[in-house]
Amino acid sequence: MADEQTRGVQFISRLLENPALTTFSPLQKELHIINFLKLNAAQLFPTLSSAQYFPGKNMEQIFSIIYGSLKQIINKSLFPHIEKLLREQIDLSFVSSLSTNGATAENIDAQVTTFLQRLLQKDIARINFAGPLTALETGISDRYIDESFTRRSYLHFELTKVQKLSLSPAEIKNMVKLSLMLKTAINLLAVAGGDTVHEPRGTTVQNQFAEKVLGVLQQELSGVPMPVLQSALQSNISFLENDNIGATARITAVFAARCSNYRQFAKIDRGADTPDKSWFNIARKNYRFYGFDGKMLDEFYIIAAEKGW
Amino acid sequence: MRKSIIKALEFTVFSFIVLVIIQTVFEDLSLLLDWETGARRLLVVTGFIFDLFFTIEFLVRLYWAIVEHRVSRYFLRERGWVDFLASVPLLMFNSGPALLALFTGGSLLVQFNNVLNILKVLKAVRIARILRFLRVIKIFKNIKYTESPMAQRHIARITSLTVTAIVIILFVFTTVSGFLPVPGAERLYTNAQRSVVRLADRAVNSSGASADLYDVLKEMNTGLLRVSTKNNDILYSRYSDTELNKHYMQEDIIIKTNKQETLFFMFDNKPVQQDLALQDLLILSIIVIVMACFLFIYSPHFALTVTDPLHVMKQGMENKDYNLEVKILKKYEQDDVFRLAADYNEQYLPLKDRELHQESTPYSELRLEDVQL
Repeated sequence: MADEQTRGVQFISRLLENPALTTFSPLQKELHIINFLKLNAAQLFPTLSSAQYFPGKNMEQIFSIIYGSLKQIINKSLFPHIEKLLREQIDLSFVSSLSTNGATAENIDAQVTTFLQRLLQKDIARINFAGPLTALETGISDRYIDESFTRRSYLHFELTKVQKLSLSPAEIKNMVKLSLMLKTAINLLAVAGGDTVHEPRGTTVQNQFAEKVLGVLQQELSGVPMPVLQSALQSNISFLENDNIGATARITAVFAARCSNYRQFAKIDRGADTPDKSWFNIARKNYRFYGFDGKMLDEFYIIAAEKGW
Repeated sequence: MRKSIIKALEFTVFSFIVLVIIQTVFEDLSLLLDWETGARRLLVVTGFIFDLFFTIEFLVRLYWAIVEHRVSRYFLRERGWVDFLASVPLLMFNSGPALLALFTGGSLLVQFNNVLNILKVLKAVRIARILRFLRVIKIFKNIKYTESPMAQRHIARITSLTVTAIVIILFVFTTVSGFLPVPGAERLYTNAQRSVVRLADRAVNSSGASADLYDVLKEMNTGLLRVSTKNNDILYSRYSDTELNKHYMQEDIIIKTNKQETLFFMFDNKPVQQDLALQDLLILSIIVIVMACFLFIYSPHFALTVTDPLHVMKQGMENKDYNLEVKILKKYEQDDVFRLAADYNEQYLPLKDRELHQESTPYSELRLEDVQL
């Protein structure tokens, strides 16, 4: 058994080193490998069932070993990485402005880390976490929020006058980042493990479902202020179905989707527009389909065009 | 192994093409700057070696084209005609005769009464050397200036058309102008030399030529270098033998005789040669600059307005997760390509994005052929 796992790890390690995956984040790599195995199962089976790999096993068993190894390898770097992001990228001091429950930054940090470690055992959560994780790694939301505060137009108005956040720009950025970190909490009620079928990106949920998850989540993450939890869960609801969704939730939804197939340091072809500008322009056309806030996308598109992002 | 040999051979051919263009420039400069014969002889020899190399290259390519039954393809589509015109005629009519003249010419003084009548050869050489400019097309063929085969083909086509048109016009003009009754500078110069021959002949026959007569003839600026008799008795010489050998090659000298063929007049033909060299340099400069314009100005423009947008659209259509839009240049937004690109940006990509979202087929960047198990 241990021998099989070693072989599984060796096999996965080789796949992870493939140059085609270099520009992807760990969870994106994981998804590509899973899909690769699914797509090529028939062709891979003769090799994988040979004496060199997993003799006498059927494809389902082989897949289970390999997926176990893949998760094991990814988790080794993923969880410390999440902890590091929480510690270094998100300043949790803003929570005191949003709630009076007395939770310290350390408490919240520990709660969120434990929660995510558990949540990310679910395959669907892993798939959906890839976008928010990349958004946090790249700091993409910070750039756009900073710009929108300079421009003081739609987004600024939505944050300060509609959502009525009495936070500084830096605190709003941290709130959005924590919201991104917890966006996948919507999968809290999904069955652990589960099937690893390809899920459509950014599927929206109904208000009632989000409310139900919120009830459970409040118990699990008692230290995290309610507005943050609402923002994280509402980012999974279509803005067209609920136009009361807060601006931070809408920002979370947009950047999580933006980064779901984001490729850092990918080469931009000559004659092509910049990645962000391209993405926002497509998203502007499809905003109804994804349930995004069209005006917000317009603003992000203009920022991307002006900044050459 | 075979690939590396082919690469090495292609690199050699490319290097030779670059070198032969440099050699052509040096050949013309050597005349204009009046280099000594030692250096010029070396250029004649190297010119011959280059022509021989390209003739062999052409023959090898032709041989393989025959073996592979694609002669017409080689000649027409792979520009075998350029390989041919830039090699065989030059070896036969340019560097071949020049090398022959160099080796059979020997000492000018010994050969003085027994010189080759190189005028006809010179004429052929002059016409043939125009074909040298076609080599510029060969060099163009070897430069990989864009990743798009379409851009490469378009630029190559327009360049070879331009260069060929220039060369054909020159070729026809040079050939035809020889038969036109136009008193060009060269003809006036030759007529003046004939007058000198007649004048000197008359003077020698009537009273014997004196040093004063030759001084007068020298002043006439016809390039009179030496007058001698049939028996090699030198009646007049502007330079010593050493100086003459140092500065004049066979092709720089025109020999004329009087009617009785008792006197031999050696004239300096360098001014005519220099005139031609200057013309050659001008033509080469025109061709090189036109080519550089195509290569560095037109080629990027073509890529920017045609092949790059097409490449981006192709990527978007072939790769599921490629979602970069085509950058539409305001200046050219009415071009067909950019109008198509606008549709691609505004219609195709959003539609593709929606379809991908709904699709349940998994997608992976990993390809089976890229993975070594």
